Amino acid sequence: MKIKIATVLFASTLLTGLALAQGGGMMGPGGSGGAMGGAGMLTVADDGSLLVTEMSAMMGGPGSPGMGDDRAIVNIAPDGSERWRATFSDGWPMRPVTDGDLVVLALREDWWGGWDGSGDGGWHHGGGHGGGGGGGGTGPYANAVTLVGLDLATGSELWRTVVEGGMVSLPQFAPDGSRMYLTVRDFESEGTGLGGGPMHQGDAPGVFQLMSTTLVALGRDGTALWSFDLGTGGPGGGGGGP
Amino acid sequence: MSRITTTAAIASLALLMALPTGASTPGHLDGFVPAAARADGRFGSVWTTDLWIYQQGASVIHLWFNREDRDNLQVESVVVPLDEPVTVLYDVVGGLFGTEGVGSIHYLADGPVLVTSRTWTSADPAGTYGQTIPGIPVTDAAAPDGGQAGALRMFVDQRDGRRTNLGVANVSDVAATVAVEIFTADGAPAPGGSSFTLELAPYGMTQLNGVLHRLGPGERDGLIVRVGVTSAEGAVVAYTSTVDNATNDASYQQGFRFGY
Repeated sequence: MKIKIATVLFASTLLTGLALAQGGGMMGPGGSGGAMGGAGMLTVADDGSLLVTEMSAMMGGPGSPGMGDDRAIVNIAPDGSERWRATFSDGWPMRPVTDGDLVVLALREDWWGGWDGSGDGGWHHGGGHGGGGGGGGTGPYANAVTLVGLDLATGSELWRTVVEGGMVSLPQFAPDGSRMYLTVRDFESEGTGLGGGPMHQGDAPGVFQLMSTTLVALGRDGTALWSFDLGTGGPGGGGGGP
Repeated sequence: MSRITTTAAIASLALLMALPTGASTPGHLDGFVPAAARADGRFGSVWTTDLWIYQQGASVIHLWFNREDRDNLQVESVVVPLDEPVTVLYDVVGGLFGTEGVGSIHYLADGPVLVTSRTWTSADPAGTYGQTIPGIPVTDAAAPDGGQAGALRMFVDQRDGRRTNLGVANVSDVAATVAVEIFTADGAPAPGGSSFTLELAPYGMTQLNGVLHRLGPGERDGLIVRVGVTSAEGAVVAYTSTVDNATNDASYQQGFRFGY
């Protein structure tokens, strides 16, 4: 399933990697990715077990001997034993959230992208990232995030949903657990903002015109329910089913 | 291409001021290097600015050189492709913009960037003295209605043998009136002409050389220079650059907001 988030104008927060008041921040380029991703990001599940991100590629840094490619969520029982480990070959798992028996995490294909080579390439550049998590984006940076639902008891994958956007917030569950919400912040990568030629400074678009922020509601099964563009006050480009 | 409405810009800045930005400058799209030069200075100094742009996701950046003391609304950008993680532009004023003078550099990218610069002069008999001038996100600018906490502050010592230049750059597309107040370390108004206003044209920039001369002779520790926007619209960034008259060794200080 793929949720297309419209890239419309929004006089929202400028892109400074601001942490969100709720959820700890955005995951993605320009956001506080370090606050959400990386090895050792810990969440306590409702059953008392622990969910921890594991990324061995992080540990040594570029070119370090023995740098692996372990990208996983590890579930640790309260007694300290490992219950399961869900590994990912197509993205970097960010800090998970849980509600009852459901674990939800964002998977970014481009997170720490510069470290999959011998140099500091920053985020994957030039469209070579494949859109991030299979989203099919063509922008110069990863422009999609894959949300993954896991079963808390077994770690088995239940569903995937691709959300287009440069950054997503940590999902928040509704009180009854029936749905979850997240915000998506997207850079204007499709050419309506900065043209290729020179422009008068007085005609330059504002930063808030180069990015949009959209609130997205998902069902517990990852189904897109609705989206709301905070700039226009309207639907954020529709949803679709899983 | 549509133009930002001032109202929207100010509303956006006001919103930002309520957010916990801190004083960091993470990757951003829109910012200013408040001072850049290719110009002769005092005491034999000749200032040149080199610029570094680091991108993580940006593919193109627009750069404007906003010459001091003029309306720069109609200045046209120079577009620079960002093909590598770092793009270096030596002598950016002369080399990229093909001009001379003192001004600010406005940049706008299509993805997150960090920009920094070094403005330097040759040392005698060899080498250089320079000051690092980082790019400031527009979100760190002072805007109207920010109160004292939203004003920009810098600390300087007044010393014989040093000169302190105060620079203020309007980061908005409307004119701005700016109040400058200089206080002594105990918070009292400094003597002499320690309080004055500046009028900045859209995207205008001004640098007041030897600004502490307004206070009269003497040596004073811990002076506070406060810059705030008093007009209903506009937003500014500010800096001080203190230069040793004997060597032209310069130190740069970015104005900071105490509150957001």
